[in-house]
Amino acid sequence: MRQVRLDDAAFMNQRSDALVLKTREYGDADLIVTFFARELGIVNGFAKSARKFRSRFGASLEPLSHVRLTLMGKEGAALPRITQADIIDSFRAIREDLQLLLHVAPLADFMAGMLHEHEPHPRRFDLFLAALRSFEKGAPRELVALAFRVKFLWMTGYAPRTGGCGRCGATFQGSFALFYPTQGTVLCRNCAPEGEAEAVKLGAEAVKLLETVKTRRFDELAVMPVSGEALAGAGRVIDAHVKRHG
Amino acid sequence: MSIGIVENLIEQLSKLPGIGRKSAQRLAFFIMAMPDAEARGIADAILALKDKARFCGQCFNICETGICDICSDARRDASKICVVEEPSNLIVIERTRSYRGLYHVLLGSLSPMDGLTPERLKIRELVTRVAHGGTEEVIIATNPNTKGEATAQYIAELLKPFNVAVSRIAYGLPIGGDIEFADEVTLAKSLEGRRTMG
Ligand SMILES: [Zn+2]
Ligand SMILES: [Zn+2]
Repeated sequence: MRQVRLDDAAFMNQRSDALVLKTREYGDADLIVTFFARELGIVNGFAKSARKFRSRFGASLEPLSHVRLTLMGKEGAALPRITQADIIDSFRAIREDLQLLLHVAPLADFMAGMLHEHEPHPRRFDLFLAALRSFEKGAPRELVALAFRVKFLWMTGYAPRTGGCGRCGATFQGSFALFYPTQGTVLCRNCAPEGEAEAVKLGAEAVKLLETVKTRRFDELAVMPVSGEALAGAGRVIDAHVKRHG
Repeated sequence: MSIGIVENLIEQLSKLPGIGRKSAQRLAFFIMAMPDAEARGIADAILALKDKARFCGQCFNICETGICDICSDARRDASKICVVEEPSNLIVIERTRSYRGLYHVLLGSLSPMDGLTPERLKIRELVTRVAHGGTEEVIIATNPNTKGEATAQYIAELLKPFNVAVSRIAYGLPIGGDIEFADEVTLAKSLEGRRTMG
């Protein structure tokens, strides 16, 4: 154990609940771990000897682990040392199911892409955690993924507008709406720009779905009947929107 | 002494994985102080490796001929293939002396958090080997972590159409440890992998 001078104010402990997003092997047996920490935002930490079988970190630094994290380093250090990571929730049911993991990994990527280092976002953290719990319980994957993305965009203020025309406010009527990725909104026939080819067609059920997922909890959504077509349509809108504005 | 020569060596050494600038500097000064013959020995060994060593055409172990010593050893049990991530893993398993089958080295593992990109690895070559027949069991000995587990599942899925037994090395508690110090995931895995006694 290295001696820590507690009177040295330059060294400090930082504690937070955190989710492991990624790990990168370093040297013979060390790991560099990227966390989304509830109170610290995106942070990297250095775990000495974490890949040894008798490492005290055990399985706590595997991706998607929810841990109680302690970091130690000089204030503002780029790579503080991970001194402790106690598992709160391992989410191994997700990690050990390759198909499910491949479904969740892009969401972590999507989220990390919209976060900055050292900017805490407790509500977004809680949202991701709730989505993971939902996946772990076996909730419908596509629906949880869609709801997570919509809710996350909503929290960050980048949500697409799908409830009505983004220009004149006209409410949705008819069997489908047209979403314009360049404008980030649905536009009614009167307001739609001439000859814009890249509008995404959105059926009535998909329009409703995009509104519903904003307000319902994951466990409420999990028991809601949703057609594959509505899910696919809503997903296409979010994809197009994120590609344009993400 | 020209500082350029030392500086160049430091730069070359820091290209090695896990060697930062500081370690490279330490190594460079250490080599400086070494007897000539020893330093030349290191340099020659690197050159010989690059000149003569290659990957085995069948299992991707490191060898000096087209086919490695293990693959060409008629006493080995050719009905078993043990799949490992790196040549160094093969060496460790060989040291146990408890395995007499063949190997297949993947030269890496899949990383599900970064997108799979299986084409980087020697997975297709493994499937081709199994498809040729003669294999009865494939033992997947990738690392007991997320990447190793994802790789194992991916391979098991690909091998389903073939008439081979696919097994995964057991997860267990480290020998010499105390259960009290095992984390919940390791402990859960070893409970799942328990076996009957007597
Ligand atoms: Zn309008
Ligand atoms: Zn070979």
